[in-house]
Amino acid sequence: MNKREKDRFSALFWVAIAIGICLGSLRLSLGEFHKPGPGFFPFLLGSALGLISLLIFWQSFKRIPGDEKKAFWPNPQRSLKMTYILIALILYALGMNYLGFLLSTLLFLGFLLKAIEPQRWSVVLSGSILGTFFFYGVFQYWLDIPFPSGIFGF
Amino acid sequence: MLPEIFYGFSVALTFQNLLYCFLGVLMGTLVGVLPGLGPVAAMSLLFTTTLHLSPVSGMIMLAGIYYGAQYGGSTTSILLNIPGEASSVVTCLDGYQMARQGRAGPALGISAFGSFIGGTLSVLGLMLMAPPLANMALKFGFAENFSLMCLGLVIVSFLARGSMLKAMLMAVFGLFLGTIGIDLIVGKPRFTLGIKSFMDGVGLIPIVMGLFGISEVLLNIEEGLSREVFKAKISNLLPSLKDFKDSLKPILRGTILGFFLGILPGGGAIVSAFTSYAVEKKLSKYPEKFGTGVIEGVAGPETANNAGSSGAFVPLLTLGIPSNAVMALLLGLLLTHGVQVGPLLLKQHSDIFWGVVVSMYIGNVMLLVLNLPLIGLWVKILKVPYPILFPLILLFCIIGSYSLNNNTEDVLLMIAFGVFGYFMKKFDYEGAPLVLALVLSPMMENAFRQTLLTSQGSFLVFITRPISATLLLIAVLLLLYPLIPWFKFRKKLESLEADEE
Repeated sequence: MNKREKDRFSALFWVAIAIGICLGSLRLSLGEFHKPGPGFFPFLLGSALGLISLLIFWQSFKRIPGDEKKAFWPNPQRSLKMTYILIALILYALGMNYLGFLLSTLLFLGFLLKAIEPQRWSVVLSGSILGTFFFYGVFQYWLDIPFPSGIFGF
Repeated sequence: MLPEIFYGFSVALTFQNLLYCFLGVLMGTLVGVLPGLGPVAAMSLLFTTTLHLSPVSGMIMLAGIYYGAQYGGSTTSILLNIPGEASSVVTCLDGYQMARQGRAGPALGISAFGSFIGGTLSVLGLMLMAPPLANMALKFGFAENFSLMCLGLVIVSFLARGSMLKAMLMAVFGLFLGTIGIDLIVGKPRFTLGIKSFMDGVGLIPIVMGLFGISEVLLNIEEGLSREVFKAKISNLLPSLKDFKDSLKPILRGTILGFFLGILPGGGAIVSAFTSYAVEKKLSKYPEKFGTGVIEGVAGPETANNAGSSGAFVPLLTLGIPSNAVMALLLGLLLTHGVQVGPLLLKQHSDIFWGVVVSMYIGNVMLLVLNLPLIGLWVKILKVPYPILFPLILLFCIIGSYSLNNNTEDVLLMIAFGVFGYFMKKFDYEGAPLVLALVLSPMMENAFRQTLLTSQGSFLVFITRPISATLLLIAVLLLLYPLIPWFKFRKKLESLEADEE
């Protein structure tokens, strides 16, 4: 994908968002000029967003010297690692309430240290245990931020 | 002004505020040194923590992170050729070359001294400039405030590193995100998508952490961030007399430039550093040597980025308008504490204004002590491998988001914005205008609607009031500025066609 293609693609995405905002604003009611309703300001913003997106779309047809095509995901293996991180993040966020902070954090850190850029087991174990208890100590005891204890009660 | 300064010292020198100032500058230096974690992400991480403190202590700590990061950022630029902060990018050009020539010590030394001088003198500028500016801003009504915020967002887009249109688009989208939640005038929920936590609006912190923390980690993992620390021994941190002589003028110029550019919305540390480098190169007797290890190329920008970070406080503390994403976070902190930010801040919360300003003097001294004798420690921290660092950054982001309301919806929102930020960067969109607009949005909408209510629906009020009209005129001129090359091109084309005929 070269820069022009990227701009064209992203502009279309923003046009769709702008249409969504405008339609949503209309449903909220625009009100009158002397008494603007809750949808008035978002409608103006949606229209501005649409206008700017169209300008970007129009600009994307101009030739740019030296605009070469580059792979969007140049290294699929590394992109896969990125996906693993995302999945781990989502599972951690959803699982924290069930497994509790300590267990879920231990698993989360252990997974990231071993699966993404594999470290020695000694590093994985010490890193995840120390990291978990450090954060638990600082936030739970020092800053009084309660963490979920989960089904195991810790 | 002396009584106010003494009052500021009495606030800043309490044990608690000294401790939080120290923690702030220490954290700032740390995030400045560590590539992949900027001051915005670090401030977001500690945002929740500061909610337990008084607004003064919270501001002192978060501000410390900001200007501390400018100090720390230079270390990685000089030793690794990787800027710890965007504002230290230009320091790489000559700083790294100096390190390669065995002059890493003087490069680090002059950047610390320059930062100290720039930071301290610009705080003086802030003290002198803020009170009259705040008095002037008292004359502003809703229309003027709206126009001022419009101008601010236009300047942010104008000074954006990439496409101005894209920066504007992000600003408009940020304004839209700010409208999500219950409409305060009619009490109707807007764009909440049935998500309970959206009723109070989308959280600033999950969005900032997603855009600046999570997305950065994703990109670094994808690109495979590798770093090689400069191995030569660092000695002679004290620059020679000649170094000082060569650097004196760049430091003074960097201070003035940095401070005034820092005041501009979107300016701050980054633009200041780049402009200072360009100015020094232009004024130099040997511009061709820039990029080969010239000390002026380090002293000027490093001074300017610190002066710029203090200058950025002027619009926040006097007008209540943040000039960059960092200031937007500070504004968010004050608003969360229920502090009315604007021209009256100086009168109603003088402890915040003078306490924070004076703490910046103290923080600058702390930074000098932290950065010069402890340089060896920072170099050691630089060696922490990224594969061990990134899980901790992610964990920090998650806990930071979770602890806001103790719910996972905020964490999921942060992850969503992390993915959004990742694609945004891939498609060359900047995050800073979005964050700035998100914070300004409720104030801007309120000013806009109140103006229309009082003018009975007439938009003319924006251009019939002189201050508002001037501000809007400047905004329009800036918007039209990019068209100048196009007009020139058309003119050239027409003249060529005429010649051919």
